[in-house]
Amino acid sequence: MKGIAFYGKGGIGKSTTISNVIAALSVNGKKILQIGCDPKHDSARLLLGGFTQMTVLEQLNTIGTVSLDTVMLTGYNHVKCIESGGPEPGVGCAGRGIIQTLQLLKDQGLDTQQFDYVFFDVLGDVVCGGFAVPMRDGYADEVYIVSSGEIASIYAANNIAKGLQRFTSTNGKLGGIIGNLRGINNERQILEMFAKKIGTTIVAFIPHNDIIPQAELASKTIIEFAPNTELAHIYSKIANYIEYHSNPVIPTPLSDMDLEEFIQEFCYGAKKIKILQQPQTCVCNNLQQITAQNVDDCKNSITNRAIQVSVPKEKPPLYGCSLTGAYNVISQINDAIALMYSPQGCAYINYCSHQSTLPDLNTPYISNLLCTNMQETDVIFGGTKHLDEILTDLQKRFPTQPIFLITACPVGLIGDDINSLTAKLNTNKQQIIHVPTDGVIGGDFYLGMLTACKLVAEKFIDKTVRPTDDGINIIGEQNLSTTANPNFKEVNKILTALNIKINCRYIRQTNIEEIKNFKKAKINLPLSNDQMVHDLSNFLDQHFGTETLQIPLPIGFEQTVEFTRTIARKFNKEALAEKLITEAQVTYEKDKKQLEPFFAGKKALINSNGANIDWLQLALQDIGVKVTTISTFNIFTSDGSPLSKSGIKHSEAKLMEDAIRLNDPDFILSARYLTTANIPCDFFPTLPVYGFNSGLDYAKKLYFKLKIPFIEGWRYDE
Amino acid sequence: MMNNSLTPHRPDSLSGAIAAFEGIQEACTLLNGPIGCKFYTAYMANILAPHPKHESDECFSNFYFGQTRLPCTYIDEQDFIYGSEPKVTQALKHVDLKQHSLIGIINHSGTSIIGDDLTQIIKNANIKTPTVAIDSTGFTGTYASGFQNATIKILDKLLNNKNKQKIPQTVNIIGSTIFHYNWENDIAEIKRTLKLLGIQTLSAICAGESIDNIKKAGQAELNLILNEEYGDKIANYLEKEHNIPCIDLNLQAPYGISASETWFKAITEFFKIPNEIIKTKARQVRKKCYHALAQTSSYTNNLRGTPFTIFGDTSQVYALTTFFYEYLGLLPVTIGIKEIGTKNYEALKNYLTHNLPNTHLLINPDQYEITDYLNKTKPTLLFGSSIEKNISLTLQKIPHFIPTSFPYHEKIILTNRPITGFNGTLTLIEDIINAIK
Repeated sequence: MKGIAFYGKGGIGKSTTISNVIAALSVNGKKILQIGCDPKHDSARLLLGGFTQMTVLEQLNTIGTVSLDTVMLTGYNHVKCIESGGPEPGVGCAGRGIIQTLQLLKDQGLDTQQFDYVFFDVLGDVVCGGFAVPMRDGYADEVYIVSSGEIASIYAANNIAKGLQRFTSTNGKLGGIIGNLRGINNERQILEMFAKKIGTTIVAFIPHNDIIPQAELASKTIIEFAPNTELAHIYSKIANYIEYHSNPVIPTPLSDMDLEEFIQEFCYGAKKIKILQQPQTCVCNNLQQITAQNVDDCKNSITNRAIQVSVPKEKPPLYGCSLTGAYNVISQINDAIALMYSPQGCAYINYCSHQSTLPDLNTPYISNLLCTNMQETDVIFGGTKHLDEILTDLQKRFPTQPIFLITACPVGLIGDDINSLTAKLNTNKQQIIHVPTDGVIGGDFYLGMLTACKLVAEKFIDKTVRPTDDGINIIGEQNLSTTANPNFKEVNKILTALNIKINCRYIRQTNIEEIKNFKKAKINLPLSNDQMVHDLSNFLDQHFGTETLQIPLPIGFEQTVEFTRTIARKFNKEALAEKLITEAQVTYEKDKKQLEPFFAGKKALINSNGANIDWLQLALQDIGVKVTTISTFNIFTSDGSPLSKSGIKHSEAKLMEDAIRLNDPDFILSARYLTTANIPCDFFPTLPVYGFNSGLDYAKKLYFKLKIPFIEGWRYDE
Repeated sequence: MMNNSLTPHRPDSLSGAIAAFEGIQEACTLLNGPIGCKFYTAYMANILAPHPKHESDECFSNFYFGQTRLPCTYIDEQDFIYGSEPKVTQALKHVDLKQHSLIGIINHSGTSIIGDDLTQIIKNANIKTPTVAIDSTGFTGTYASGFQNATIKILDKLLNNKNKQKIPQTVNIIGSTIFHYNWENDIAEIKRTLKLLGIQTLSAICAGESIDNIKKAGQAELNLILNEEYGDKIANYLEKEHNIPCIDLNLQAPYGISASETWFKAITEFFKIPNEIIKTKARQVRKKCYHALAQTSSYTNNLRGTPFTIFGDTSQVYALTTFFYEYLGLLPVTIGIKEIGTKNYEALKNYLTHNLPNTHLLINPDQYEITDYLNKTKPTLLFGSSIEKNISLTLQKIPHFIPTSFPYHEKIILTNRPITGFNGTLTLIEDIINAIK
């Protein structure tokens, strides 16, 4: 069996050519299978005598399974024909459809070895991985490009050659170019020259001929319709070439610059532009690589459009994805439904992550997450029809609850028009809100949170609500952190002592009513200080006239004092604040006195990860510890160099050794686990629980930890 | 089977494919996807199938992002547009240095759409470690299908010689994964009983097994399937490609005394060896259970007719339901099916139609449906996973929860308490009696 694929620009005449070549081969008694890889599914029309065929993907979409008996039809001269089919124009992913078709045919036991030839008729250009599948190993042994001398066709042919070069690992695959002439000037010469440039040959020229439309009208190939014509002879010649004379090569496609030169010279007949003989690469703006003899030539090159744009510079990794970030927000609106338009796995990892990281929730709860459980057919054909059915059912099931539709990566890739659908389904009683996250395409976890927080605000915060005097909104709680609830409790203690009511936790364990009344409070209190909270507070302040306090997080005594006083000043509760601080001071001093006898005069070496650890340093200093802090690592900017067993990189071990030698510490505190044989070490929390006593509470635990063996027995059993 | 439910708490085929590779001790799974897709799965793999090969020093190096296993290519929008080849190549070369015995590279849902040719990328990367590529696991394919398809690809790679001589009285165990509740104890229990019979287990395929043992799988005389959903396709493959027959899939999975006895007897019949050991073992377990159950029944009347609800895969649910109903006299009020095995599903439906027509049978229910049915039927006992347990905590009448299926986040399991086979029967009866007495 020999696999043959025909590629070429859309509308260039691939299907006509391939059908005629197949017909010619079949006349010679060859057993042939033709697989049309085009959503238009018109590839086999001339062999079958018209459109009669159910496509593979149509059957998958309507019946759910594929049977070879119904998708493989017999046409002219016993040629077997299969059409992949695909989505309607503008929806879904046709490339994915081709991948799926070829896999389904394999799964259904299609035995290609029973044929002498399997032909693949592939739509247009190699625009994505799906369209490239037939040219990969295991499918086509030879690829023929159908092209005219028109510029667009030459561009497409060069692109196909590029794809082919990419997928050719050992033997060449490009069988040649079939010139399907359109009657432009010097067309044969243009194609011959192009073929030579990319290292191949012209198999044949097919002249423009009125018999072709006549045969197409009759739904027949030229071989059948007009077997004794010159045209039929040409198709037979191509068939003969494929059968006996083919000599596939690895193509040498033209660079963008060379192609431009070729077009200028041969297609436009214009004067040859300046071409740089031995290009070297320079980098401009980190985004474009420009081929030039030297940097000064860059500008000239740009004006001559001889630009080779490379892949943009690699971006830093995105932690989490925006889908998860958005769900992290919507999960906290108790009376909303979070519907993930995603594969089931996206919902599963989110559902389980919440289940396993929120054990400290006081009240057990039913997760509000549901999932469309996106199917392969949704990806290929577009999923809006399926989504419409799901949303309509959900509206019946949850008639008053807002439904937030959060989208995953595949949705962003297939480009479903969700906004039109939600607009159609929205009613006065119920809103369906599209949260356009598209998985990682919409950014990282924090961007997803921000997107969702902004959207919820725009949709639900009632701008007409007037503020009351003693309310405050809490923003930026870290919902996936196990310290979120303990932190809230500590802050709530302070607010309660100041007689300040929490109006809305934006967004954690809240509901639509509280969100609507967000403006009852004019002050927002941020409980974390990352960029997301900064952006959110700016947004809320600008759009809803609130004021977000610029305030340190209440970690440790000093910061909590400042935290308390700043809030109190805003609400004229200074006296209550001082009373609270005095009480906290008493407790702090009492704890300090208990700890001082043990810690005073001791030397601590802190190995931090670069985070703010004032709470720890100040508390240790308060109990008389002499503190030295170094930062040997940062978890998120690791360069990947190997780590030693002690937990730090070899390249950083020297720094640690020097710090130990110079400071002679009594104990080491590290933001990640490390051990030493002769100095006690502890792993300190990078996210301690808030409150006046964060530092001393840790020191109390440390008091005991420093008394236990430096290395626990089990660690020797590694 | 098409999944039309809105259930958000079932793992899908991507997790299943990961389970297959992570179920080989010396293998490394490279996920060609975003970072967010790896955290939970890597976390659970480390808890449920820890292995020294996944050394802790890995966690701060490139592609691992703070975890010791499941490196990933941290795909972003740029890679969707330009293709993931540069990152995949870089990651493959990095992982290649770690000297794993096998690398499994798996496209996530997004990268499978753009259609990057993983096989070609692997070739071009020119790495030494044998590598298996899974271009697409499907989108919402089932966990079981993802596991089985990936396992077959792994076997295709590892079992080169189809004509190796069979080793007498040897079996493979198929049909469990490292994410299954109590997988290690259950496999150990089956192996223990087989050993008593003089039967050697060559390999528990892709369920915490070493690569050397998996390479021996082609020499086994018989394949044993613990759970049909996770083993039928693999067994078909091994039968077709390596001429290894499989235990009769019409038999109930080995949960409870009768099903275990029948299952092991079928194995003795295949090998034409005496089954006295099985009879004795069953007798001993029955005797032990009898005393405990008789005592419980004598001072409480709680056992007979106690309503229970069970959630799990069909093979397990079918075997346990019949065991609880027929042997203990418990009453199934609701049965929730997660993964469907064709033979067991049909058998379960027939069984319910003829014996328990009022029992509710739910397929892939979402959390709202589970809540409704738990509220409606008020079971005393709830068998299932952490999902159902957490839902049950919201009920007015909270049932006693006994873990039997996954995902299970509640406790680390170090003790040897299987739920399959003869000793598994004792575990289950112990848990049930302690819950309701």
